[in-house]
Amino acid sequence: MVSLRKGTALDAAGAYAICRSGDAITIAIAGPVKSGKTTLISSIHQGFLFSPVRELKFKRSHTMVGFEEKCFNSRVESGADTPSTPRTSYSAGVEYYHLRVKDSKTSSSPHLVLLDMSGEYFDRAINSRQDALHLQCLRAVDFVSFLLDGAKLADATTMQKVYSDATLLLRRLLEEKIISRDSRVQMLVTKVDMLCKEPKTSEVEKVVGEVARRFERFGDQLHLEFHAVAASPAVGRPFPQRFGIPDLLRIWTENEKKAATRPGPLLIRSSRLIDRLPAVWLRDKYALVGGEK
Amino acid sequence: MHELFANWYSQVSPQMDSKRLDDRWKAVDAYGNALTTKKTTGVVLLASGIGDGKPTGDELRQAAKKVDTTYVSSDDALELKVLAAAVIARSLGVPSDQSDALALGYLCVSFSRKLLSQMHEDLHRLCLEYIVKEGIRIRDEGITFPPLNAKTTTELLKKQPEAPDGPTARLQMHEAVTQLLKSASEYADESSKSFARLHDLQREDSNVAFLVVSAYAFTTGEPFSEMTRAEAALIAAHELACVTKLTPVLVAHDAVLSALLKHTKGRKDLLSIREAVNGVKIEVQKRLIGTAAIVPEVMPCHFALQKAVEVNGKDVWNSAFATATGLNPDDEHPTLDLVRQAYLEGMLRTVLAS
Repeated sequence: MVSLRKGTALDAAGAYAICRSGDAITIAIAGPVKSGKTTLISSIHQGFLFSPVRELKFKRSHTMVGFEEKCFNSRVESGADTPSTPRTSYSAGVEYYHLRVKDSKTSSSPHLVLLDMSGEYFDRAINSRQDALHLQCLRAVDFVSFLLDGAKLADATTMQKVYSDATLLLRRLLEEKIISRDSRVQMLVTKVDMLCKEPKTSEVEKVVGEVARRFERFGDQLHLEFHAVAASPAVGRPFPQRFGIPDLLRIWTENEKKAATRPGPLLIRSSRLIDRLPAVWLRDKYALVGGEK
Repeated sequence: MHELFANWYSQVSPQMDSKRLDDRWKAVDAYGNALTTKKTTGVVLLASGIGDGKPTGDELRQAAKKVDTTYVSSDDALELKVLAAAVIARSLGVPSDQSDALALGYLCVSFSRKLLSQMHEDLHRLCLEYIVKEGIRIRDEGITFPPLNAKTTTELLKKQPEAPDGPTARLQMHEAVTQLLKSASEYADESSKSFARLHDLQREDSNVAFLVVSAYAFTTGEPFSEMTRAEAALIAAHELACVTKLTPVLVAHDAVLSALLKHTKGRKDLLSIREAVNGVKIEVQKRLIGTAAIVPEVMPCHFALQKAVEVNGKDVWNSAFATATGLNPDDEHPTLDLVRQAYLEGMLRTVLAS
């Protein structure tokens, strides 16, 4: 008997089946409730429905039904007045969306595995160490894409809360060693159409630069990258659909591995002269325990 | 279970399943228990993702299947890589010939290759720690290099105006210093305390003498101060490997090799494999190769020497080298890194041949 895939979002076992080949790039879409996580995921899928996204061609997906479920409310057939996406429930746990693309530039065919979690996980993690442990799955992913709600950033009454929540969450994840200096953490300003009048590079860069300044304090602890997207721009805004998504896909698929931060020098625990010599002559590689001379 | 295994395995399974993790570790355990020294090279190559991973990958897969019958035998390249890395990490916990071969092999295969992941960094570190700790542990447990002193060394060198080949000279030295040790112990105080003190002093003495002796290359019958760095690189590694085989302990190799290089002429801080091989005369190249088997991907320095000897020392071995090892012989490396690589390769060949 052949068991066919349901095509819905994958669970942990489904993600394992893809990741174990070694060709997978895992991306965790993180952010508080209503920051645009589901919209981002569904727009990535929608982008491939019309044409290749730059050099990337759609190859296959194990979660076509799942993607379509997410997209439905944004379509005319849904009968809704404005495009929207259903909220991921807390009880669903971690869901994985799969997409395999063919990169005509490099001839590689990486699997993209997108982790979707309810925003409640992140809201709770800010306040509780115990809840932060539910985010352990972020430790192993290639990218943590943390969403900052552009609509809230555009509103003076909510802007400060977006920054403080993001700061608290990053701090919590650092404390729990879920992310580190070796993690690739992307700060994505979503709904950037609410912050810029036009999709001009200079305007978008100005906004991104302003956001980046708010996170300068993490400079020593994290390598943060900043990008802006407008997955589903509001009606009447001069932004194209899925603004910024192709750039994001390019960064993910290129996924240039960088060397992990080298640990400190090797500690020598010996009182003998010959064993201690490396610590004297090659100080960048060896050190004596306790720094004794 | 090794403390880092769960971290490494999270690449395979972002959300950990503790039963699966336990099962995989059991497979690692079972495979590690049955591992022979000869098979260690396969494990090292699989863990570093070099080659097709056969037959080690198939064997590891079978081990995983024995524990967990639901293990799927396809699209598991990364999983096998992590399991192979775990076999290495597990072995390093208990010193053995297999552990020596795995640690040396992994350090050798890492040379000149960008193995960019936290797992590779962790594993590299574990192997280096193992080598350093083993050197210290074995000597602390009493297996020491026979004590030498300046007088003995001088006498020996005087006796050998035309230096014999390295191994013969060392055997003669070994005999001489064993005699010395024997006579010294006869004179030693009967009490264990004073004998222990003498023993300690002898050990320190031997270490210093070791550095002094190392300034002279028995392989060519020349002091290192007469050689350029390109000439000295592979010879220095060979000399230290010969002494290490005799001791038989991995000494603080970085310190000794660094001392050797300080003696040499010129200040060439970067050196390529090609320069190092071409820097040695064909007669010396033949002596450096030895007879033990060479695995090209793991032992690039010795493979380059072998290829150079095959074409009678001519500089036409580069493409064959690049094809077999995947490395560029013209890539420049810090000289100490290259010499260390040649030394570790020498040690690995000894372990694999034993």
